[in-house]
Amino acid sequence: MTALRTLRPAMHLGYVDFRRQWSPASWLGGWCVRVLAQTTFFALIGQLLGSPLKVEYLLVGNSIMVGCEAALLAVQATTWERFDGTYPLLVVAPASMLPSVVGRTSAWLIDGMATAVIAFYAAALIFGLPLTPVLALEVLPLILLTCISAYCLALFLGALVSLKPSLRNMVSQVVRLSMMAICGVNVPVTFWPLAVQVIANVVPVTHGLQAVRLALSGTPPVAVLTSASLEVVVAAGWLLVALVSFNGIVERGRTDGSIELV
Amino acid sequence: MRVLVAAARAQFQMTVRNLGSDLFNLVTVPFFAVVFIAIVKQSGRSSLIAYAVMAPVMIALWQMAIFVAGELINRDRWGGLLEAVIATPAPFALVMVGRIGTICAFGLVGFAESWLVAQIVFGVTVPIPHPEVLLATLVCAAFACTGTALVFSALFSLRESARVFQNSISYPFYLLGGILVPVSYLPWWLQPASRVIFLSWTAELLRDSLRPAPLVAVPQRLAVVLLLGFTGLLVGWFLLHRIIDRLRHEGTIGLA
Amino acid sequence: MAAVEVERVTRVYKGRHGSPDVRALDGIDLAIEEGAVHGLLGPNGAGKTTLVKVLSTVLLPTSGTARILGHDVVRETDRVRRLIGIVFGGDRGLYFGLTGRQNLLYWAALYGVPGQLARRRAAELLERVGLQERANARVETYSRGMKQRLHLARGLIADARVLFLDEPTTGMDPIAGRDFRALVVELRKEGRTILLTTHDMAEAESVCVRVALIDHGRLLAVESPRTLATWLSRYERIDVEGVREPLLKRIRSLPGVGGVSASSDGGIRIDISADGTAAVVLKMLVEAGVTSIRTSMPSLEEVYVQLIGDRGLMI
Repeated sequence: MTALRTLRPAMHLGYVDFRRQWSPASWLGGWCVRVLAQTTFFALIGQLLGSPLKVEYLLVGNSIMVGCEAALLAVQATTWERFDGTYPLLVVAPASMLPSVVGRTSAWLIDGMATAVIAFYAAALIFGLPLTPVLALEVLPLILLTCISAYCLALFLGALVSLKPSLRNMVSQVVRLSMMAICGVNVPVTFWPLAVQVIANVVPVTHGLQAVRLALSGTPPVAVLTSASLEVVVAAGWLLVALVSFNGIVERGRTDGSIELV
Repeated sequence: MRVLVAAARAQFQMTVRNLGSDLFNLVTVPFFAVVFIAIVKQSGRSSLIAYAVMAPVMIALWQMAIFVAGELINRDRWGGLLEAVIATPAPFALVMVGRIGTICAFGLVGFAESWLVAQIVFGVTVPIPHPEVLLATLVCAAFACTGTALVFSALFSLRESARVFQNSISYPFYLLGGILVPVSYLPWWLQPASRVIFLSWTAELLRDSLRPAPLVAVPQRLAVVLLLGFTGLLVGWFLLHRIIDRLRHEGTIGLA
Repeated sequence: MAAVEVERVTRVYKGRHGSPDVRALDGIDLAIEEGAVHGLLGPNGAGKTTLVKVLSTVLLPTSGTARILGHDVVRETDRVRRLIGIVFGGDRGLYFGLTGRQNLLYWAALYGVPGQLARRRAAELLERVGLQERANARVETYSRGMKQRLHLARGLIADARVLFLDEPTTGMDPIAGRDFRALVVELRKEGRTILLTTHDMAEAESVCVRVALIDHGRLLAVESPRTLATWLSRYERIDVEGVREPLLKRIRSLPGVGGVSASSDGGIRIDISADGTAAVVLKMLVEAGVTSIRTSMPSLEEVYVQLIGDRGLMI
């Protein structure tokens, strides 16, 4: 109950954070344009390669990935408690920190989901992806799931970088670009060495994206659901790791005195 | 000249000490190289490796221009330094050119990174049949990048709201600049816009420098890159002058 | 010729989104003789920094004129910039990523000081301000006092004839502040003209020949520090305990007693409003056997309140 009570004002705070960065006009006129440009940039590589299949592959992968990238901005957002000086107050408060953090960073998850949806459907329209209404609806929850999974990883990374907030941008970028490389966004996961494939299979995006591709290719639902379920497991796993990390880092801070009151 | 050199030297000293912040944009370049080269390799179109290797170079330049150089004036402002700089006899725009030029020069490291990724990660040695053209193009690109960054730095200092678009002007310019996919793949009505962005001319020259075929109209194309850079410098210079004058009138210079 | 001449300078900030305009400076007249150290004393928001900005060419006045060694700050900006140095207070205004020496060399270049001369001058200044041991350490490793000394060195790197010290001892501990003021006294002896802004009366008193009081953009007075100290002592107050009502009644009726009121700690506060009255009141209290007596001076803000005509010191 305390968690729910904390969530709402934290979400409002997250909304305020988001509005400080984006107005509706700048989000639509700036961010969405960039998102479409990014998806188009990669889709055009498919045209350069002379392969319509590649166009679709790159378009689907990058439109969803760009939404996951937006959700990964939650990494930076989790460090704002440190910069605002409210981190020690959260530690001292009786409630667990995670609902506050989730609430405050949820704006970026919502942003990510909206971004992915807009990018995917707009790019599908621009490049003439054969998308029936039924198919369009079918892939929607898969797209959202993939973004949620990326967000769960972002929570864990946010907990980590709270130890060294100056690294937040670097960590976020490196993880984002690594996922772009290995998670089946631009090339199949099987292109990479085995060790890389193993990593790809335990990080977000890989299975969710695979589920979307399977759905688009008309594969039987069982296969789609299997991939989707794997993505759910990955998301849940990272969420659990995030919870353990937040609590662990708090305890460590209390032990080594790294929680400043100023 | 003394001012230019001093500003460049000071910025060099500051940048190398701010690796985690200023130069982290260069950390992302190898990842882009991996992604682009992987796409090309996986498709079996080895002839397009040059495209994949050169694109990250322009990403490096652009990111240094937008995210580092573009923040210079604001950083000085937040650090309480803007007033002190403006109160000196040194022309403010010249100081900025010196500092921004240094930052853009750091962006050229992107070429080495990209080339090494091709070599080390994919085992592909990218030959350079026209090294002099490559070098000349990189230098001209850094110059053009300086002009562009000067304009952005001025714009971002004028309006806090303009900084919102910092994150939004990467891929649109990568697309328009034809940094990987040539401009000819864009709709015809977008192509004229590409021609006023130095990235498009630079991208073509860089790709051509990696092809064994003889090159055409190199001096003229380099001249265009320089001209675009010079235009950016002029516009940036003018903007900075007007902005500082306006800030002195409105009284929003500095934060004391 | 005065080193700094300010004639009817006004600076108005236009109000935004319907809020009223702000008159940060309102018809300021000020003249500072060459070689003098002149203080500008006022609370936060009084207009001190705004005036420094105008004089250092960073801000244009809305009306009026200001000249530095005869050169107009608006029309002869370039000439003025070659004559002045600005010294800020606080942490800001230095490149943290550069060493102390690198900071000085950079600023020297911006002031057009030739390379060899700049290096020599930087070395001399670093020694003068006591930073030669840390000259090659990055500024981000400096203490507040060290940064302040580097600020001063930076202000002197171009051998400025006129220096603006804008709240230079902000945040400094008393020892560091004292050392800094000693440096300022040395500069005075070198014949430099210095305008020092501060909200610390004691600081103004220790280094300045004359002090201007400013509030809400207007100059209230320009006096010697001794005169200002007299004004302060005129508004002394006496806190007492255990005083009976008849004695209080006699004290209340004395000329030069501004008021008698209960203080928050249960005692009585007697406000003095004329020279010499404090001694009379103290004598009365001591003769009556009152032992719990404490005197204090009003704050600068309270002096201002008096100067701009409010009644009493009971704020």
